[in-house]
Amino acid sequence: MDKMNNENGNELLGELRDELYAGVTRSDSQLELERRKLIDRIGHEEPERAPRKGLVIGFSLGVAVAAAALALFVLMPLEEQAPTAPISLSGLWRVGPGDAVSRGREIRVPPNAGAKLVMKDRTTFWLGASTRASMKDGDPSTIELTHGRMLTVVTPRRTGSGLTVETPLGNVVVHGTTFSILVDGESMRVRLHEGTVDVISAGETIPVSRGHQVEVRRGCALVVSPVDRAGVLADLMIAEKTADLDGPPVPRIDPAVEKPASTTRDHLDPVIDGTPKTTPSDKARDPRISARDGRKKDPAADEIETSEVVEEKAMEEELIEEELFTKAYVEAQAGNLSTGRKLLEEYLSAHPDGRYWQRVADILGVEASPR
Amino acid sequence: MECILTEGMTVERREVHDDRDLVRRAQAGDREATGDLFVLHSHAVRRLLASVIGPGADLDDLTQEVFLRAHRSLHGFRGKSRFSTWLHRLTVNTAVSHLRKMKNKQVLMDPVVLEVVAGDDSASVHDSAMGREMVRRLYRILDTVSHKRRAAFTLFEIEGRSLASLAEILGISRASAKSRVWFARREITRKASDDPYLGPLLRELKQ
Repeated sequence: MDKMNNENGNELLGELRDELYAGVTRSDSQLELERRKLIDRIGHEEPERAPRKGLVIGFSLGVAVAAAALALFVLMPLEEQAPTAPISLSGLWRVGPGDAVSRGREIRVPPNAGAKLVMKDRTTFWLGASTRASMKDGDPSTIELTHGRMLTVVTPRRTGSGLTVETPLGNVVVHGTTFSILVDGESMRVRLHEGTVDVISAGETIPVSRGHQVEVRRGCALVVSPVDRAGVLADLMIAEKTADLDGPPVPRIDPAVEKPASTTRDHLDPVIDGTPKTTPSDKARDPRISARDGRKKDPAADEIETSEVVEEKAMEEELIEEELFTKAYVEAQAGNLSTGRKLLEEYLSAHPDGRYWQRVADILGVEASPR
Repeated sequence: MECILTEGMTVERREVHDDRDLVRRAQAGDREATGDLFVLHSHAVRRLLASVIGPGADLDDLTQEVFLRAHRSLHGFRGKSRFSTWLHRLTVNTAVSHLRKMKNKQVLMDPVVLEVVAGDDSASVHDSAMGREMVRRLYRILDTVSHKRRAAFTLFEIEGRSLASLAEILGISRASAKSRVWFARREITRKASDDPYLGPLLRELKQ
């Protein structure tokens, strides 16, 4: 320890560097071996990369990472660019803001993957697994969805200019909304979470409002029905798959549809005169509604407020329960049965009177009972 | 082409190329030129990786990774800075992403045991053991410091880079580089205040 007390020059730093850099120097032969190895690795890598050179995307597609199967795409239309081969996503592709993808090129999402497409005006499309979609060549306001599931959040600006989604079974004209479309061979389902859309199929136009879905089958009449929980969760899953990627946040999808008859709060409340009816529960659930309501409160309304607080507390508990159920459901749907079972256990112990335990147990294919 | 024999194998001695010429050729897809850039710069890259990551790093693999990344993104090098600066920035980024990966995996480095050599009190053995212990203790503290501060501290204090060079490599202003080193030094000094090995070293660095 004598040496350490000797603060003379940079002796200690010298010792530290000697130790740290001991393995840095390479002999000429080692260096040559490493050099050859590098050249071999580059040679090995380049033939794999060669086909991608043919894709005229107008920018570098970034780094491909094999571990994950999610994708973030930022679309910027290239006018007058001829359609070329489809873009097949595999692994993780990341494209930065301002990068461009040519119109007319089909984007194919592989199974077990998802993609997020963000337009310059922040209109966002979440594409589910095995989806095929493209920006229509020559028409900036049209998206073609050939197959698969697409969840969309349309910005007001986009609404002004109009957006149409074309599918083999009909078109959806968007009026500013959060909605999803599932196209699967002979059927198409449009599900509304916010706003309104018009579904046009076989010459028939059906306006669809919040909390409703419309099903189109080839040769059949359009069927409108309330959105079911399974559908909401399926849409949540698309968004959650890409939640870790950059870009606009996952849209708000109200998980509280299909309430039991005993509840007084009906989230399927239809649109009245084009304006969604706002209930106290809406206020509690939707932070945007609460934020907008910044008026000074009337002291005479204290009693009402108190009851609202109680109601909000109950709703909060309910939401926690639903969140747990949703997690278990999503895990089960994704095939992560062990995680799903674990969450089910957690759900059952936290909510012995829970409303959803049987459904979770059914999905997971396990026998369970509340304690 | 002159050939020399080193450790039982033939090594081609290459002509010394100007960086810019090699970079141009490498950008055009000449793999041999990338190989030559490797020969020219690998020592500095290895040293930089060792500084930022510390003991236990697989320098061979990481150096290959740096040059592979460099080859992939060489088309983006416009020659506005020196190639070495560009490469060193890439090296620091590679080192930081390696540290992140290690942190995510929660892989703990094998502890380095202080060697005790009974009956041998020669200065070299003593120095070596003490150097190893200093390195171990310093990087254990650096593992708790943010990657930005870690990079600034190791490049400035251990590698001995100037503030200007540090700023260029990290892509920040000179003032930011200075403050980053200052904050890093303060944090490390605080964490190592009671350490009999690091205390004198940090005082030495301060001078």
